Amino acid sequence: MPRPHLISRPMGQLGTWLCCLLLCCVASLTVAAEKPAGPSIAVYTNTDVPPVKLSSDLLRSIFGMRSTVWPNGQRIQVFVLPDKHPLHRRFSKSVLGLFPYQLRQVWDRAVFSGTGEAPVQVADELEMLQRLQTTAGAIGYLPLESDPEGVSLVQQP
Amino acid sequence: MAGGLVAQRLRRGCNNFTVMGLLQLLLLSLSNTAQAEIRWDVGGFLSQGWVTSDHNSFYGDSSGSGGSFDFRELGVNGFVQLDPRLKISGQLLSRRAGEISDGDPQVDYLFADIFLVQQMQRQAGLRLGRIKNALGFFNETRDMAFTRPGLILPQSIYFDQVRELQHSSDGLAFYYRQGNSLGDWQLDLQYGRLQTGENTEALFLGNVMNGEFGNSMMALARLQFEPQESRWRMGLTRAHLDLPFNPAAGDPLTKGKLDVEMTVLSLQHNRERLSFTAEAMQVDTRWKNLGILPDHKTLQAYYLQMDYRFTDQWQAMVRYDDLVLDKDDRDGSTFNMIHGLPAHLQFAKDWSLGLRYQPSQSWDLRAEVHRVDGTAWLSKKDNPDGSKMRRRWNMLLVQAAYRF
Repeated sequence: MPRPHLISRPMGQLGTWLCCLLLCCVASLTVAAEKPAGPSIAVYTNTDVPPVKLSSDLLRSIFGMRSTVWPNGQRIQVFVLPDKHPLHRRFSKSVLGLFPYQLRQVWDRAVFSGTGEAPVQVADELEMLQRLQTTAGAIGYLPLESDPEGVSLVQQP
Repeated sequence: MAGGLVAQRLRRGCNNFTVMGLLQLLLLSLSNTAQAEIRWDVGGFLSQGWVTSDHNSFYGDSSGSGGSFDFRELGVNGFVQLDPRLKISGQLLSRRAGEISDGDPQVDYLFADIFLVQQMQRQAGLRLGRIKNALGFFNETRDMAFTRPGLILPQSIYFDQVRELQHSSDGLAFYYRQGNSLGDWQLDLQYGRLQTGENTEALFLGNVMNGEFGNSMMALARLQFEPQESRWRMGLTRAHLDLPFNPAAGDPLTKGKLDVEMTVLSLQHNRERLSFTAEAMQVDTRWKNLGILPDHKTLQAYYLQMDYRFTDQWQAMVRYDDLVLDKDDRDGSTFNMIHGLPAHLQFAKDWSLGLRYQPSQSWDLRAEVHRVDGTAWLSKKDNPDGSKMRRRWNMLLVQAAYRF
């Protein structure tokens, strides 16, 4: 059964390159992402983790699941909120300097090639706090204003 | 035919057996040092596609009425960590893709990961077993729909006839990752035995042969770099493949070997709403003593892609994808003169537009339109008669994928 052509005439080589050029222009014109506003976010660990200063480079490495062990040899257990959670978005952008979709891609690449793991996802801030309090080597994030108890605040240099 | 199939299964079984044996040995030797905490996890994915085309077939009889549903992927993966320094990871994959993949479950990868260095900003390790080849940005997760930049991968670089050679190898790999003030560096080195078969024969020897490739080895190096802000990703892969061929009665070839050099250059730029991805590949092939002339050919491929995220759930992409099988015969005219086969078998220029909808973290729905000039990456198995193929053709694909 013959079907109609979806697009009738093929473009020449010139058309191809013009379109590529257009892609590049559009790409370079888009402005940088806006800084998300809202309450400030702090990074917390379980109290058994010795106090460490974590730069955003190191935090990217930890939440990107590349660093897996604390300097004292203990395993790092990363907790995150769901991709679409407002606090996760803000944490991802303003603390790590990554868009949530980038983090998801990094985790997926690791999980489905067998070369790494994804962090444990918690449902909400309350579960985040409970997991941070009770899991050895845990790291996660919460609003600074919530002033959580039973966890250690991570200093950023 | 049936005998060949059984032999193929057996060969495949042997390969898996070697990997299993290797891992068992490793497990035994390390079981003494195993510590208290054993960690494990299991997950997976499945996808179902539908393809329809006006001419030519892709993933089944897509040009027939009703299109083709012969595009399915099901994967189950997991890991076990028995010791702080040892982890075993594996994935079973069933893939149905027209006449190219029959859906039989295969060991996609299965390896032991031995951690040598585990510092905050520096990690290194050794992997033993069946390992996905660290080729370009997408080969290691090529069959997992969520990780693909489109519904199908850019066919110029990741087409199914080179799938066997690109997919994985049984051997060992070394990796090193370091973060410093410049950014994030990752080096992968790999050496192992490739899986070869009919698709490799069809692409590199012109047809499916009675004989077969002997122990085919690959050495690969990939360097990836992400500058500080993680807006850019770049990678360079270089692989050398060595494929000895043993002809059998009836083959128009003599005993010889194939030397294949693959180079892949990868670049990605990520913004909040926009991503830009480009990869280019060159494959230099030398036929040694096989009696194939000319004895040297260079394949060139590249694609450019732009993604736009309207919302968290909706995303669109546009891609231009270009493949020439012989850079000295871009329009296929020499090929046509020598073999009398259509020139369009030698190139493919593919424009595609795609839409992606992710209602939740577990679901991924996509639709994609392709307008193609050329047939170079179409499978000979789905299109057995080259002279009946049409140079200009169009295709629509729809896919639903779920992860667990």
